[in-house]
Amino acid sequence: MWSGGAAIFVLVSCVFCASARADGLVNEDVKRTLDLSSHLAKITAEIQLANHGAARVNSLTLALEAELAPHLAFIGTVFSHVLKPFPSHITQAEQQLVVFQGNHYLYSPYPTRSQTTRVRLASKTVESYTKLGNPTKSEESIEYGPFKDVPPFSQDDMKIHYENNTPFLTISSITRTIEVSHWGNIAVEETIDLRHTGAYLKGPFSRYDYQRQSDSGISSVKSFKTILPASAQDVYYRDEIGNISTSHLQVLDDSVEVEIRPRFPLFGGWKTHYIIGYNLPSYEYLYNLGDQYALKMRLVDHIYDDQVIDQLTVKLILPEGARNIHVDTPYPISRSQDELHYTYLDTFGRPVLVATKNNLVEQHIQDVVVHYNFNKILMLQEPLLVVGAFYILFFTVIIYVRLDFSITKDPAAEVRMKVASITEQVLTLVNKRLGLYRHMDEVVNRYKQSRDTGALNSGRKTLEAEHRTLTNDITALQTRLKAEGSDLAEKVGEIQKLDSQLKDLVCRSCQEAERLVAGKVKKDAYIESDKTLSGKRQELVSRIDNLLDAL
Amino acid sequence: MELEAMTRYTSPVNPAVFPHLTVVLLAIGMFFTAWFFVYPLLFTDLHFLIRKVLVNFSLKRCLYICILDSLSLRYEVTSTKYTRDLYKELLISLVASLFMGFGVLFLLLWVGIYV
Repeated sequence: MWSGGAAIFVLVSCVFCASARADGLVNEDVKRTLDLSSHLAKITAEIQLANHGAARVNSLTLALEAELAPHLAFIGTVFSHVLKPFPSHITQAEQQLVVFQGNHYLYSPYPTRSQTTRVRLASKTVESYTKLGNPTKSEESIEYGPFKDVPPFSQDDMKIHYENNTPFLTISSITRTIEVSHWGNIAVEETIDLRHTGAYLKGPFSRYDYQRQSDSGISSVKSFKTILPASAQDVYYRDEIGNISTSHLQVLDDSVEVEIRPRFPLFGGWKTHYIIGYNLPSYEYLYNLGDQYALKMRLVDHIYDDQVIDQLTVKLILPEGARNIHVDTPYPISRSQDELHYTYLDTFGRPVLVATKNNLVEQHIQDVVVHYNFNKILMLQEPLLVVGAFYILFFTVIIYVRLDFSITKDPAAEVRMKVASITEQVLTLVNKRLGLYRHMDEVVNRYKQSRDTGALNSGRKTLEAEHRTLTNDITALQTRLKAEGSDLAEKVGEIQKLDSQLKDLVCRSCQEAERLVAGKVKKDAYIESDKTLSGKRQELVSRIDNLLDAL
Repeated sequence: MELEAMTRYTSPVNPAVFPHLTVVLLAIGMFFTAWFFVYPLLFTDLHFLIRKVLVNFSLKRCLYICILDSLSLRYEVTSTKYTRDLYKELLISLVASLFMGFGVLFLLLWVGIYV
């Protein structure tokens, strides 16, 4: 864009004064392009410089007209809010006409040999334009020039009144909150206040006309596209009422496009308010080396093409315990006091960096780098908080159970508890005993097949021994039960009696099996006797079961 | 402090693993919690009530006895029962709260509340 003749290093600075500079620099040839096709005025100038002086020059001064200076958004240059709607109020059916007031010449501290200005418009319809030096008008552009030998700081008012139906949206304020979590996620949320800064709507708004006629409300804004970073997930678009469902999300290779359609179309002077948020994976934006971390994120992101932001507030929430915070911004911003933000599982609050800036455009979408130190151990504080909370709960239960609020001692409850525990043990022992008998059955069956007397005898011996221990235990428990004065002791006594009968039967079946093997009894007889024995056993077992149930 | 010298930051736990970790940790935590709650309530009226209900629903007695046996582990009613239980209860509650705590953290992370 800039080409130097003799300049080696170009330093850009804005100057408002009207004093002439005696550097000896001369603009040889200037081609200025004013792009008025959107609601912003973008001026691009191609300047060929020559150094006619004696000394070496290593800086160049750019100048701006005093009236336009407050509207300068970006040196490139982009001016916001310079296109004034004229007429300022239009009805729904009318077209929107705007006026641009500028300078025919390049406002420069140096004399210009020759220059041309080309103005690109938004449409073919031009109401009026100033005619200095016989300009040529083509389809959508006007060409002024070439002007020869223009002195420095020369101004000549240019006024173009033309039709511009492009969306005149302005973001009056945006609050961008970026929350960084070291568990792997960055949450971004933007709260946006949007206004239509074109010609105000005069008269009523007819929904019927708007939908039926294609050129009704042609300068109104129905929808726009927001481009989010490529890895954005869980995108939400809502306002105070709730989720706004008139939106579309399209995931592309290098970006995520959200087509946003507000609840109502925006006409001149109308405004809307919404919140859009999404999650980003932290590995794309967070870097670290040991304890040092660096977050590289955009200070402001794309909201719509040719965006204008009147007021931006950025809040960067870093994890708890981040220290030595240092910010590198691509352009000057004003930082407010650091705040503290309290959210889930926080004890001493998360540091928040707050920065504000006015008058931003699309060219301000650049990265800001935030350096900070963070001790990784501090991440453990979060699960330990939850563990502590649970432990306190359990501890309360432990204490509560040990509290005794009864005014008098309740002996019945005590006895009941003791009896219950004893019964518990009786139950286990009896079951163990029944298991013994089953085991004995298995041994007998094996004996029938293998005819191994040794095994049978050893099995019988173990049965005897264990049975004796178990019976003794149960009797001991029975005495204890009686000591407590419980009537369950009798039931236990009954079980003991039945059990001894059961044992007899088991021994008898064992003997029968022996006799069968020895050949003293025939197979049929054995089967019959076995059946009767098992029948009796079943009966006894069921009776024992019933008694146990009653315990 | 140079950005170029730094590597990309990755989370200590891979986010793809959050669901599995949550389920496993919470399951173990809930098991220990249940085990913990058996102890103080053992042999109280609530315990009897639960027993009656279980037996009346004809839960197989052996199975029921088995479970109770494994849980009560020869609970002896002696005068020193309170102190012995206290250590056991504290230990179980510590383990239970550890697992439940981490389980709840990963549950929060899985759901999207990146704490």
